[in-house]
Amino acid sequence: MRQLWFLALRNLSRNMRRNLATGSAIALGFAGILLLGGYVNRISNYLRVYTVYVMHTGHLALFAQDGFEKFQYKPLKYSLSHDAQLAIEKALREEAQVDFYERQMSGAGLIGNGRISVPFYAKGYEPLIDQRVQSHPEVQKWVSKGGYFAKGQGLWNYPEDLGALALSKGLAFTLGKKLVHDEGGDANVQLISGTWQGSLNAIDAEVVGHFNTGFRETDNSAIYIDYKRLQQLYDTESVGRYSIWVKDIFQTNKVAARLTEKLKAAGVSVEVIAWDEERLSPYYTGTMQFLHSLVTFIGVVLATVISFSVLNSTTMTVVERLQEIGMYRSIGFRRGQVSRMFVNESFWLAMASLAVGAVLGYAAISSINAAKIIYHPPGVPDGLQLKLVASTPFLFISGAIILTLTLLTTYFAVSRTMRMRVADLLGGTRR
Amino acid sequence: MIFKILLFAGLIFSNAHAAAPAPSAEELLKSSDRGRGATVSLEGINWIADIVTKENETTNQAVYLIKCRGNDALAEVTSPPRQKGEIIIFNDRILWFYKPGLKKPVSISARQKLMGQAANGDIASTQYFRDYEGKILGEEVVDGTKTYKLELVARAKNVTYDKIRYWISKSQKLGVKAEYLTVSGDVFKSATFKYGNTIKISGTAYPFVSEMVIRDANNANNETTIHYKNPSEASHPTSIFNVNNLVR
Repeated sequence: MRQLWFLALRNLSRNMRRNLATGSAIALGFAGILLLGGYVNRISNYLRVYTVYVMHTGHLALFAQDGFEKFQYKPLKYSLSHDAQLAIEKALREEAQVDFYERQMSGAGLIGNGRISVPFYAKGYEPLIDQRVQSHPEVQKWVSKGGYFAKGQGLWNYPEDLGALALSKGLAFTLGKKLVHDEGGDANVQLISGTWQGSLNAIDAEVVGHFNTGFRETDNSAIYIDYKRLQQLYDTESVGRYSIWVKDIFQTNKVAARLTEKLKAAGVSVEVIAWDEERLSPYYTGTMQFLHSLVTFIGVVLATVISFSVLNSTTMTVVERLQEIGMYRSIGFRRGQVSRMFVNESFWLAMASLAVGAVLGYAAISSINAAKIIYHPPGVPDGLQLKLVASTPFLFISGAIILTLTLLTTYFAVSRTMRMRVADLLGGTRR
Repeated sequence: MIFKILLFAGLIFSNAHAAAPAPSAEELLKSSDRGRGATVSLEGINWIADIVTKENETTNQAVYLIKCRGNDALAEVTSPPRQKGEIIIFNDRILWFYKPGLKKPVSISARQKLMGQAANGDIASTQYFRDYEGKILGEEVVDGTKTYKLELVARAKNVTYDKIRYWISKSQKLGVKAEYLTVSGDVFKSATFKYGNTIKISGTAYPFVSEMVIRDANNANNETTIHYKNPSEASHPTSIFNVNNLVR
């Protein structure tokens, strides 16, 4: 057995040029797959962290029953009342898997600067939870800019009675609020809207930061404010939803089921939605579906190229070595042993090529990251750095797939020859 | 001879009747605007607007004291107590909202909902003659009242409605019914008017609106009623309509 491995290794040096060509195809293909994997790994983690943390979606979003669909146009009926909040927070405190949670509000209205008023859409968060989210290790690792404030500081740096608010950059430009509170300009604005009861109401606020929404459509209207200020504007004690972050992401659905059951028993009917459901995170799920189809397509193309390259090379090798195979058979080697020897040759070749491919792939990833290339995907005003993050599990899984493909292709190429008679093999002709 | 005289008199009468010109759309709008508080006095007028709204099985109420002078108006909440002191100023077609404690007044739209079905522009900015181009479409009977049916198209973007179908009584020349239309021509709410009040301007009494009922065209249960009370002539200084004076 060991002899077969040794013989296979020695045979590799017999047609160095062809083996180099085959090995190069495997190595370059593997390096390409690693680059692609690094890109997908980075983008999928960036999107996951951006969705779960930076956008405050949480791993779970808890709404009043039907509140996800109907809260925006019937907030009074489909919000979570003060009593419901007490029951929900009790259930959340009792659930061991819950890491932390946040009360949220959202709504629309007009924002004015004393001269003009323009429409806004506000998201109300808890500033201290925002601080926790922005400094979360996952955000630090995957979202390179460390959050979305283009200017100014987070709301948690200001006293509650200041009415701190962050404006999307386009809205700040429209309102002429280029200077934020800390820069000493007139950062005062007013928000006006109908209350949930139907009367008109307005509140003062102070611009302390600018942010990019990541989408041009919302960059002219989005604001971010303490949810309590929105409660004042809409004259309510209710909240629109809870975002919940769990300790173990794989427990997300179980936590959702337990919370729903527990609250149902307490007489509070709620709807709990996981972060990766399309209706809650359409941008994330849509982008991931596109990425997966892209990767599948490119992966199939690369696997086909590698397979045909190995098949071609092995077939030529087998044809050249018919007499040698006949000789092995005539001195007592069984068909399986000869086939295994060829498969072993491919194993050595593939392993060496994969090692070279891994080195090439990692070197290319480092070079691309060092080049700090900025690209502009749709809806990202300031662009993103083309950053690739190699994944060790992906390295081993894709390497194992390429190795398996190489070995199967080799076996397929030699299996027909192994069925030939010894005399024909020794004659060196293949029919 | 008697027959000739009767025939001659009949001809004169019929000619006189036929010659009475139909009022123009402008005349009808001017007259109907007067019944809803527009430009009847140079010095100004007051009235109270008690707004009751029924929507989604809940009822809300707010009372505004309205002060008008020319193209300016000021609406101040007197009830409920938590809204007391809130002010809407109408400077021509530009509206401002202010509440005590706010650092600056906020510019608002006449189309924005004030309460229930009532838009901001419904409570005081009611100068259809100034804001709309009118055309008489014909004559109709509305709840037993003979009316002219008019189509009004907004002269500017910042008025309360894009299009209005407006029925003005032939006898009193007051608006009795209105349908408010979207740009595409769909009715989204309608209103009926009653004129149980009178207002004396320089000794002359004019009929004045006492009730406006506004209904959601898509949900008849959603209804807002504005009760107009105590209309009277008053003298208002122009300074009370100056938005810059609000925060001093």
